[in-house]
Parts: sequence; C-alpha cells; structure tokens
Amino acid sequence: MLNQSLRPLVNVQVRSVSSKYPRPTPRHFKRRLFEAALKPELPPTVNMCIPPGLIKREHTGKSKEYSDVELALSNLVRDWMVREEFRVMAVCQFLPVPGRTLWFAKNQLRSKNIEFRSYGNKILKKIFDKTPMSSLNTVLVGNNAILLAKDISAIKSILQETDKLNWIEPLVMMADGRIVDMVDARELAKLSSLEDLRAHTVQLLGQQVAQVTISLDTVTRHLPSLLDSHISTNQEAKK
Amino acid sequence: MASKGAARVRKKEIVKVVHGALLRTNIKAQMASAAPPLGPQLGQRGLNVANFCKEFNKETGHFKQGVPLPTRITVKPDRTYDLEICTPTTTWLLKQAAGIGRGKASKDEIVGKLTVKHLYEIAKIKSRDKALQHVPLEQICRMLIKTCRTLGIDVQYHDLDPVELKEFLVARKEKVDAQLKDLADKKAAKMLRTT
Repeated sequence: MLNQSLRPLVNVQVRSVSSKYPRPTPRHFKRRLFEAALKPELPPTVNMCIPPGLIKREHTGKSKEYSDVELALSNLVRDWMVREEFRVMAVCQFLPVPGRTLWFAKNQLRSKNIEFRSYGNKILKKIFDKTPMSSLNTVLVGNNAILLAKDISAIKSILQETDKLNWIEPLVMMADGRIVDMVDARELAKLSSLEDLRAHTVQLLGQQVAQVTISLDTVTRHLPSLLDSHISTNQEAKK
Repeated sequence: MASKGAARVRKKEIVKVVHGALLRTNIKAQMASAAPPLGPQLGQRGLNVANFCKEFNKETGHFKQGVPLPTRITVKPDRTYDLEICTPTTTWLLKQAAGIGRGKASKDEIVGKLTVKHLYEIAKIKSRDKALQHVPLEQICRMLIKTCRTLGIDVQYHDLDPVELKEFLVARKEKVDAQLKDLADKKAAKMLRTT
C-alpha cells in the first residue's frame, strides 16, 4: 500500500554528481515529500524552554568556579608578589598588540624596573581575594594587565612609560596598600621627588609644635609682669 | 569556438600576497645565496638578493661557516632594509654543547646530557640578542631547559662523569646510525615502489 502510494513520488532521478554541486534550495517539493515519507520514526522529543536568565546564571556560576591549575597559578603569583616586595601596582587596560611589540615593550619596562604581567581577570581577582586589593575588582573588566614596581618613585616612571605606549592605559594605581586614582598619581608624578612631600609634611608638623611652645611661653613670660603690675596697683591703693 | 578562445586567453587569477615588513629566517653563516629558500623570500619583497647575500656573508665573517643564524630583516617601503643578525640558534648551541647531531625521535628518549654550567654559558651568549636584552638570566636559563626537553637533552645539576658520558655517547651513536639507516631504507623503498 505504501509502496504504491509512494511510487509517483519516488520517481526522482538519481544523479551522480559531485558533492560540491550546490543543491537547489528549497528542495523540489517531490524531493521533500520523498524525504518526509522516508524519515525514520523517532520517539518524540520534548523541547524544554529555559528562561534566558537561568542560562546566564548557570554560565556565570560555572565561570566563577576555579580549576586546580587556576588556583595554583593564583597562589604562585601571589607568593611571587609578596616575595619580591612590590610597593607600587598599576592596573591597566590592555589592548591587543602584536607579540613582538609586546615582548620588546616588556623588556623595555623591565629596564626601568617595572614588571609587566597579564594573567586574565579571573586569576587577578583570585590573587586579590581577601586582601585590601580586592576593592580593585571593579576595574577588572575586559582585558587588563598589571604593572608592578618595587620603588614608590616608580609612579612617575610608570606614567611616563605608559604614555609612550598606545596599547596600555593605566586605570588605577596602588602604592603601599593605598589606592591612588589617576588624577592624584599624575599630581604625584609632577613632583621632582617624593622626598619633597616628606620634607613638606615634617615642616608643617614642626610649625605646629613651634606654635604651641611659643603660645605656652608667652603666658609664662607675661605672668611675672602681670603679677608685678597687680602688686604695684595694690600697694598704690593701700597708700 | 570563440568562447574556447576566450577561455584560453583568460589569465589565471593572480592573488597578490601582501608581505609584512618583517622577515624572520635562519640563514647559515657565510652561506647566504640566491638559491631557494632565501632567494625567493627576498625577491618577493623586492630586495636585491645579490647585494643582500654579499652583505650578510661579510657581516657573518667572524662566525664558523654553516652556523645557523636567526636573522630578522625589516624591509622598508623604499626597498632598503635593516638587517639584524642574532646569536646562533638555541638548538644548535645545545646540540653542539652536548656533542650530538640529532634530537629525540620518540617520546622519553634521552639523546644527550648537559649540566647547568653549560646552560649558564649558553644563556650568557643568548643574552646578547636584541630580543633578550633586559631579560633576567634566570628566565633565559628556564627557556633553555624547556628547549633541552624538546630536544631530549637531560639537564643535570652535578658535573658530568667523562667515562660515563663517553659510554653514553658511543651507545647513542650506534642508536642514531641505526635510526638513520632505517630512514634511508624507508626512503629507498619508497623510491622503488611502483604502485
């Protein structure tokens, strides 16, 4: 019965042509009927609709998990940063750059005692986890790199070097556990030396101390004369 | 007929390859010639191959003939070029130090032995490269250890024992000869194959 009903439909010429020959789309209606008739009978599939938010949540949940390798890398980098006693860190936006240029730039930065590192934000977030640096997580969006230096005066050299390179842009700096925004960092970079600031602070504090001693001294100096004048006025009154 | 003629006249579609400014090749010292592969590489970039070979051979006069030298050629739009000749390739230096001519052919094969002292000396040579300036010597040594691993050279901390090393090298030579013979046989069999 089925064979008889399909006979007019099956009358499709079989041509042995190359597989590279583009098949007409949509296929001829006869072909479509033929394929529909020969379609294997499979158990009905149930399509599940998952709300988009759920997929996203799952995805982000999975992406937040750390593999053993990632944990080991983050521990290694954290230990290295502690061991080397870096005092200045700049979190930078890192734009795509040819490998050769990057390699030479890294070497150039190393000659200025600045270490360039780029591990990816996931690793960086893990490194900064449970440290004061975790507040820098907000700037870790997209591609980021960190510049590290051992000397506090490297703020100036970091800014000078990054200004020369158009593929790296410092976003925020950290000096001795204190976050310094770029406006302040540029102000600091303008100073010839950070020793100036220290001298200025010492001078201000010294002024205060001197002021206190002067004001205390004036009272003690004035006291005898006041007493003298008081005695003399009393004696005059008695007379 | 006319269409046939037109088809014959029609030229092949020429895809013009746009070459970058930088050409990275390994050229043997004092042995630069216009023959392939170097000649076409330079010719496609519009350089004067003869002049280049002359200059290269002159510059590499202080090297032993045939030492592979990584060369970086920056071609400028006016067809002039900057020539940067680096120190000999790491693999060549390591193989020379280990006294071997062939790297490992199979996994976990040890083809030679070196000490960290050898690596330190090679690292000092390599640190003269433009690309390795300001790179710490420790990092260069780490790179060398990685290369040793790919070559199949065993790096050890303690000094090598000359007697033991000699035995090892003799045994290794026999093995390499067998490998080369096997390869030559295979090649001959391939040449003779008719099907």
